[in-house]
Amino acid sequence: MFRRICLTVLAAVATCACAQDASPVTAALTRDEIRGATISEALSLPNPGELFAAFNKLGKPDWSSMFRKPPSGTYTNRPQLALNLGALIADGYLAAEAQEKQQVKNISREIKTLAKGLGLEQDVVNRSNSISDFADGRQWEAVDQELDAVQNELSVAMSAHQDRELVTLMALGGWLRAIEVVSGYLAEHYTTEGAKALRQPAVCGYFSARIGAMPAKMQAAPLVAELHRGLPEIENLLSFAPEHPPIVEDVRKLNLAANNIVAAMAARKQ
Amino acid sequence: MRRSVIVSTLCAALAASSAIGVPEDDLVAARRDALELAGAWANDGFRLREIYWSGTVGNGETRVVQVNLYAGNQYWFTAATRGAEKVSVNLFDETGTPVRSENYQEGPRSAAGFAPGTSGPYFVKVEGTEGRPSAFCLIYSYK
Repeated sequence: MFRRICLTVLAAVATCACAQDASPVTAALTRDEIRGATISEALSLPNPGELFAAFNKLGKPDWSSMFRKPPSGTYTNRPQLALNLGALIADGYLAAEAQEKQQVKNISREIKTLAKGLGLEQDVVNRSNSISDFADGRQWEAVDQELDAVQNELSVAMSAHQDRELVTLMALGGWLRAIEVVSGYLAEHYTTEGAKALRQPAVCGYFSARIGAMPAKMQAAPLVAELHRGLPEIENLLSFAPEHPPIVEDVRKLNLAANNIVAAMAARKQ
Repeated sequence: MRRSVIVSTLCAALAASSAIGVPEDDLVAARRDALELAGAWANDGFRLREIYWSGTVGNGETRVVQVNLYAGNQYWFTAATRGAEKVSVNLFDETGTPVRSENYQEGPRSAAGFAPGTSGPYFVKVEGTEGRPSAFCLIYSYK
């Protein structure tokens, strides 16, 4: 009897060990596996909320000090609309991190306005309402998820309209705005840990390659061309060795570079 | 309620963009299974990304995707298959070296969680270890 109980307990322990264990023995990836790794526009690109979440661990930034006047909803140029939609979604994450209800609701309305410019208002109307409702309920994590959902649904709708380039530009707009926000904050409240967290050597290169593969007409659009020219500097500033984080002057340079592009996105009439 | 709305919407989006040659039903089911497992991390404060990566994987076959993560955050990568009896998820740093992770394995569903010490690129490997070639879906959560 005792032997039977012991065996049962051992079997149960073994089952638990199979179900959840720390760090199994796994062979390293081969060079071919690394070279052949998929880069998925959806999965491989972090959203602005991930960057803000990482910085929240380093203290409690005053995110509301990084708010800006939302970009105008009067653009008619589609690449510009897509870039600013991405940047506005990043502003939404920022407002959620700051836990500013009215700001979240304002941004949600602006997202709808910009989506309308692309003929995609119906694709975001429900999400936009949900964002406002969750903001009213101060459910900030739910706001984050709805913002992610808005971007995902806009991406699906853009792809369905054969506008793959707009999906890339929307993601790029959000990425740049998030970098602008965080580098701006870090420039004023510099810490080595914060500077280390900025590292992302592959993301800008990915965007540069995607713009380089866009149709010539799209690449020639003044705003897209300006972005393409500006990305290598940002890539360079984010491509440091982990043990050599950027000094405060480099963070300021990064902020200036991101700020220039985001301002061009928001202001340029094409 | 909200979660079921999200699942339905995503399943609809997935159905509209399924991988070539893979039954849509299998992809939708794999996605649903992955979301179900990821729900466990959501209860622990993890935010589920709406995006996913899907395809097919057979016994002994691997699929690798690059992700770009931030130091300070914690992540869970969750995969599920339909058809295969077993799938595994493993994580690697930018040099291809396995990273120390917490692993969960339950037949056709698997997950790996870790907190990167360095921001930058990482690789997620999905491997079919038993069963016929089948659809898989990979999602991730962070906090």
